[in-house]
Amino acid sequence: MKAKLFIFSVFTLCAIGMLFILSITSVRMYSKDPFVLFKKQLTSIFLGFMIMFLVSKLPFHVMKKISLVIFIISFVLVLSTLFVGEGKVKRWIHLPGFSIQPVEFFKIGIILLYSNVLSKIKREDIDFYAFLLFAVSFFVLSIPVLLQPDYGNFLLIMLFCFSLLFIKGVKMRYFFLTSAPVLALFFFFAVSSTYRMNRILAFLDPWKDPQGKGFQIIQSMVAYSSGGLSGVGIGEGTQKLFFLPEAHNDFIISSIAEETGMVGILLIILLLFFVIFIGFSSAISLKDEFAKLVVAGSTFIIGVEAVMNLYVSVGLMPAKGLPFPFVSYGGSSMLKSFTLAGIILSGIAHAEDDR
Amino acid sequence: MAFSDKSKKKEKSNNFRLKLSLFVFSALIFGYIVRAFYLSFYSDNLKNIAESQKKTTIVLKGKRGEILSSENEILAKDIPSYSLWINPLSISKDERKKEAVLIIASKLGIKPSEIEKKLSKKTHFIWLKRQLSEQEFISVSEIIRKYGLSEQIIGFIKEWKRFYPYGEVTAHITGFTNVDSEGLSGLELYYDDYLKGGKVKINVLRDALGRIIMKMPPEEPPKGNIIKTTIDMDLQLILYKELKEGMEKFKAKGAFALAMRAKTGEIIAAVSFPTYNPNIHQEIAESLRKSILANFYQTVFEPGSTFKVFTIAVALEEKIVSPDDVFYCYEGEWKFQTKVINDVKKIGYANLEQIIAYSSNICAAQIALMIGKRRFWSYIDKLGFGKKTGIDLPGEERGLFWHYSRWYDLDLASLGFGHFIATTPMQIIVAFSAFANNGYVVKPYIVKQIISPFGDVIAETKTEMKDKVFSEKTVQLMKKFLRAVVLYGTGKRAEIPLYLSAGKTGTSKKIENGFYTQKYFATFLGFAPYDDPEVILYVGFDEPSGGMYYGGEVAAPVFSSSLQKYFAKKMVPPPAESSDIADNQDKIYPSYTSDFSDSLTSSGSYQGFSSSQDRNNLSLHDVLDSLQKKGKPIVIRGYGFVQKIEEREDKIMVFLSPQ
Repeated sequence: MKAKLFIFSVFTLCAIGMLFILSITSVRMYSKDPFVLFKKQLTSIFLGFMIMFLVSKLPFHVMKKISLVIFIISFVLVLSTLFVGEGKVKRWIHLPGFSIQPVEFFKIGIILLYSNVLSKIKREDIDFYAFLLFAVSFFVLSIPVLLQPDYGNFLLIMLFCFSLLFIKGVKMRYFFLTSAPVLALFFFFAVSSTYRMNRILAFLDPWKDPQGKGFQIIQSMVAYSSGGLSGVGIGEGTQKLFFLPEAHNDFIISSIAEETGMVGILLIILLLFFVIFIGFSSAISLKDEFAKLVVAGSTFIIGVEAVMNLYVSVGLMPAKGLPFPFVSYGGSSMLKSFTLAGIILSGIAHAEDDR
Repeated sequence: MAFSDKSKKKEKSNNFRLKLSLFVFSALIFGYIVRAFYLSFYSDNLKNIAESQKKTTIVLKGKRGEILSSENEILAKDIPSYSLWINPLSISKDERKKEAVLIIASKLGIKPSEIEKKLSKKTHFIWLKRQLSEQEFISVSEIIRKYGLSEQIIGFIKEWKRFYPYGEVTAHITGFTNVDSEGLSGLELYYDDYLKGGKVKINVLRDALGRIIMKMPPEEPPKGNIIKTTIDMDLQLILYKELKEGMEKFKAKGAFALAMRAKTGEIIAAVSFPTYNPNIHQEIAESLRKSILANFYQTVFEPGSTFKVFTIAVALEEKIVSPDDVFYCYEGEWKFQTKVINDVKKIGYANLEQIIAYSSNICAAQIALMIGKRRFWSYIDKLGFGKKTGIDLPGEERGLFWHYSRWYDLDLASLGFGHFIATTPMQIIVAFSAFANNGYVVKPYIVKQIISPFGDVIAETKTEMKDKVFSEKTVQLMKKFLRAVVLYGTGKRAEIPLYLSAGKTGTSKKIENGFYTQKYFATFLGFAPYDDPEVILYVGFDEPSGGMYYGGEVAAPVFSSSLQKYFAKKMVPPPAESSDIADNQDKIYPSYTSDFSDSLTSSGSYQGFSSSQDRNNLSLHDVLDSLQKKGKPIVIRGYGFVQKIEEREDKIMVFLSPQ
C-alpha cells in the first residue's frame, strides 16, 4: 500500500510537471519543435522509471557492496567536468544528443558511500575528533564540485552528509560546536562573489531593484499573487512570458501557483508530503543500519531540494537554481530523483519484509 | 539484556532523529504554506504589479499619405522597411552572440563605443538600427542565419519608411519625417495632421521582453490623406538642373528658383540650393535641417534693384510722376545728405521706362523721396512685405521692414532701390504678382487638394486675391517698362523668343555684420509670356564668384532657358499676335542716354527738347547746370522750351512747352 501511494505520488508529480512544461513551452520557443522539452522530459521520466524499478529490486547488501564503486564513478564524472567542460562554469558533460550534470549523481554516490561507512561504525565510537574527521572528508571529497564551481550544490552536499551523521545519532553538541565555523564558511562563500552577494541582497530587499536584482523574486511572488485560490487557469498564465526566469525549471512551482492557485499548490504539497513521510517512515521501520541511512539520506535529498525550491519561490530564501524533484524540467535531476525513489521503494519493500 | 537495551536505545535514538527530521520537514512545509497563502491573498501590491506589467497599450500607426505633384507623380510615399532590435541582456552574457552582434554592428556602420553602450543596457529590447536599407537587411539576415541567432535575442520589426523618389530635387518642398513618421519639415510638417495615418490603440499583453502578444490580428489603422501639390515636376526638374549647372558655372554659394502661376498663386516650382537628400538616414538629414533652409521662403536678403519696380509703380499710382516725365539721373553719382548714391550705368536724362530698364539707383531713390515715407510705407505694407505671405509651408520668414516712423530720409532713398528692407523671394514674387493680375496681389499656395484614402477630395485650395494695390493703368505701364528691361535694358538675356518675357534684374550687395560686402546676390524676377503672363519666375544666385555677378548676366539666362524649355515641354502655343513695344519703340521712346547733351548740341534728333536758341526762351540745357548744383531731384515734364521752373521742398519741377 505504502509503495503504491509512493509510486502514485511520484508519478502524479511527474504528470503535473509534464503538463506545465507543455503550458510554459507553448509560449517560449527553444527550437523549431515546440514539443522538444516535453519530449525530452518524457524520455527522462521513462528512463527514470526503468532505473527506479531496477534500483527497487536491488537488495541492500548488494547496494552496500557496490556503493564504493558507484561513488568512484560519480566522483570521476564530476572531476571530468573540470577537464571537458567549456567556459568558466564547468558543470556539464556534453554528449551527442544530451548533456548530463554529474553533480546530481555525485549526490547519490556520496550518500551511498557514507551510509556504507557509517553503517560499519558504532554511534558511540564517533567522538568529536571522528566527527571532525568526517567533516573534513566531506569537504575534501566535494572539492571538485567546489572547483566547477557550484557552491550551491556544494553546500547541499555538505548538508546531506551532515544529515547522515545526524540520523546516525551523533551527539547534537558536536553539530552546535561546528555550526560556528560552518556558518563562517557559508558567509565567506556568500560575500566572496558579487553574484552571490547580489542574490542575497536581492533576497533581503527585492524592492530595492525590482527591475534588476530583485526581478526574479518579485516576479515569482507576483505569480502566487495573481494565482490566488484557484489560479488563472492552466495555460492561461502570463508570468511565464519571460517574467519568470526559468519558468519550466527552477520556478515551475510559481507557474503552477499562477495557473492553478493554492488548490494546485496544496496538491503538490500533499504529494511531496507523502513522498517524505513514506521515505522517513520506511527508514524508521528498517532495521539494517545501511538501509536505514541510505533510505533516510535519499528522502533528505528529495525533501531538502523540494523545500528549498519552494522557499525560493516565495522569497523566503535567496534565489538558487534548484529543480523541484519530479516536476521541474531536467534529465539529470529527474534520473537522480528516480534513483532515490528506487532506493526508497526498496526500503519500503524491506521494511515490510522486516515486519 | 544490557545488549538488548543498548540496541533498543540505539534504535530509538536513530528513529527519534528520523522522526525529528520528519517533523522539521513538516514544519518547514507548513511555513511555506503560510507564506504562499499570504502571497496569494493578502498582497495587493503584488496583484497590481501582475496587472500592470503585462497590460500595455500599443498604438498602431497607419500608413502615411502620399505627397503628389500636380500631375500625380509621387513626391513622398511610405514603403515597407525593416528595423533591427536586439536583446542586450541575453547577448552580453554570451561571447559568441556578442561577436555576431559586433559583426552586424560594423556592417551597419555603428561605432564600437555605441554598440558597447547598447549592449550594456539592462533591458531585453533595444533598437540596434531603424529602417535598414534592403542591402543591409539582406546582409544582416545572412549573419543571423550563419550564427543561428534565435528570435529571442535579435530580430526585425516591419515598419514604414518614407521614400522620396525625387530626393534632392523636391527636398525643400516635401521636407522629411523622423523614423517615427512624424513630419519634421516642409509639407511633411505643415500637413502632418492630414498626412499621418490614423492611430489604433489596442490593449495587449506584453512579455518581459516588452514584446507584444497579440491574440487577434488588429484592425488595420486608417491610412493618412493624400496631399496633392501644385508642383509641376517638369518645371521643377528643369529649374533644378539649370540652377545646378548655374551654381557650378558661376561658382555660387547657393541659389533659388521660385515659380508661381501668375493668375492663381499656385507655386509650380520651388528649388533651393544647397539641398539635401531626404532619403538618406533621417538622423543625418535632421542635423542638416538647420543649416539648409529653403531659401525661397526661409531666408531673407535685400532685394536690391528688383524692388525698384514697386517704387516706380507706387509713384505712378499716386500720380507723383506721370509716365512721360523725364528725370535727371546725375550721371551716375548723386550725393544725398551724407551718402553718395551710384549707378552702375551712368545715365543723364531718363524717363521711367529707362530708369527701370537701366536700373538707376539715383532716380529710384529720388522718386522714393518724392513719394514720401508714410505713403511709400502704406504701399509696401499692402504688398505684403514684413508679413508672412501665408504660403502653406512651415517656418516662413517674415523679413525685416521697419515702420516709417523709424525711417530717416536716407532710409527712404535707399528703400527706393531695394535697400533697407529684407525680404524672402516668396514675398517678392507675391508682390510682383500684382503686375500679372491687374493690380491684385495673389495669395501663394502649394497644396491644391487634400484627398482622403478613399479618393474623396476633403479640402481644396482656391485662388485668393488679396488687396488691389495698383490700378490697371499703372499695371499696363509697368508691364511695358518691364518689357523694356528685356528688350534693351539690363535683362536682355532673359528674353524668350516667341513667348516674350518681361522682368527686372537685381544685383544686391550682401550685408555682413551690418556692412555691405563685395559679395553679391544676383537675381532676375520676371514673367512670361509677356502678353498674357502665365508664369512668374524668380531666380537668384547667392555669391556668384566666377567673375560675373550681375543679375542680368547670371540669373537672367537661367530664367530664359528654363521657361523656354518649360513652354516647349508643355507645348504652350506662343501668342499669335503680340502687342510688343519693340515694334514701335523708337517712335515713342527715344533713348535718353548719357550722351543726351551731345545730341542736344548737334541740333537734335530728339524731339523732346528743342535746340532752337532764338527767342528768349531758355532751353533745358541752359538751366541744367544751375539746377544740378541744388542737388535736388529734377523732374522734367513736357517738351520744348523751359516754360516754368518750380523749386519745391523735395524736388525741382521743370515744365517745358513747345511754344
